[in-house]
Amino acid sequence: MHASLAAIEYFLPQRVVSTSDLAEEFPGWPVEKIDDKTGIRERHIAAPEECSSDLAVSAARQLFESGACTPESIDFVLLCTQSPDYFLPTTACLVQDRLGIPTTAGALDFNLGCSGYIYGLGLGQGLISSGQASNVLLITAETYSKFIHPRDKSVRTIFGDAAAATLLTAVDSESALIGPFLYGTDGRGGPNLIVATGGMRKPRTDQSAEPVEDESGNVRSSDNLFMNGAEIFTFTLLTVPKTVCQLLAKAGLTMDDVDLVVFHQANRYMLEHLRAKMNIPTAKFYVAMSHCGNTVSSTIPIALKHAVSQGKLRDGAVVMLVGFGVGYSWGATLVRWQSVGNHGAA
Amino acid sequence: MTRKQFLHSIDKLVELPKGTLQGMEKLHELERWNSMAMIGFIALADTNNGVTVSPTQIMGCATVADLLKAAQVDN
Repeated sequence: MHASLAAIEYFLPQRVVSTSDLAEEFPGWPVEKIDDKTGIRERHIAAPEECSSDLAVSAARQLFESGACTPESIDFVLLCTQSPDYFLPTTACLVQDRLGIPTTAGALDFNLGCSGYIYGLGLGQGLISSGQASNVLLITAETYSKFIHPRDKSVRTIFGDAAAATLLTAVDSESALIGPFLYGTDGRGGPNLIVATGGMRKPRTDQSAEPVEDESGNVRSSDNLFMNGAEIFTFTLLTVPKTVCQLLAKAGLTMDDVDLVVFHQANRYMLEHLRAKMNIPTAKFYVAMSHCGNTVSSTIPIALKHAVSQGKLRDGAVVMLVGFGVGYSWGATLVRWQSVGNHGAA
Repeated sequence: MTRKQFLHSIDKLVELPKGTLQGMEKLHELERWNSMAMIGFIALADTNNGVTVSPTQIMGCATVADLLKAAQVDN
């Protein structure tokens, strides 16, 4: 048995912060400049009382309401988040309960960001092909906004909150529909995208909560999200092109064999630079982030859902997915698209 | 890309009129030399010269000429 990516739904919180809103808050940072650098028009931000499990449950319920599956059919929940409701218990356990998924199901959280969806597909494929599960509910859910200082425009302009729910279901096919997989890790990049305090290593203190202004006028404390944009950009230049080549070699394919390329939707500037650097035709390089921003591990499933709704994915299409970022962590895979169950596909 | 064209591109990154920078300018004295300009410079070096200039290398640059050297721009 192999895993088939059968359906995707996603949920965005109600509150919207537009680029115009940010331009008003940050004089000297006009709409045109923000749009030019990010390609993001709107970010959805979770309400103060709205946590990752709430977004996860909403996305999953949309999946159930679409008719793709029922709660009773799920035998494993994989939840990717770096902003869990609690240190413990596991957020996936809480989600299982709220969704009415049988208590015979397995459930776990895994802590990854931008590469999380790829790892989730790999874990799901493994569970299904080893016979441990038949219907895996893969959820990516993130509320990075809760880590971000309101006066840090470097990250407020980029990140949005969201959750996506993907059904991976067992099918009897001759060959794998998802794969091969390529993974990579470089923990030296850890300090470049980090919430430094609040964990076990450095608990929060009055001192850690003290905000400091950096040389670009961004304000944050150690309790807030910090991103070194230049280091992250350099990491992607060094890693992503090589990863794409390695994946194609592993699969015995060329870029001509790939119908659609969906990278982690970090920001438009980075995506366009990578596309041009790798000579990927614009027509097959899919970008869908202007309405929600960088939603971390949900960017790829959200983009896939949009591609489906626009008729970009026909049955049998070969889709390349590449996730890269916080950790540093990266992953890439190929998906043979199955339109059955993917509502709205061509 | 020639040295002159590279300088013009850096003019654009730091929002100066084309032809302003000549090379001897100190980076810390350029008002718009910030993290966004740094990312733009990394992209510029990568696109035009196939050279990946790391942020650490950039932090070691004091002048615009140092940037050109890091990007392996011919004189």
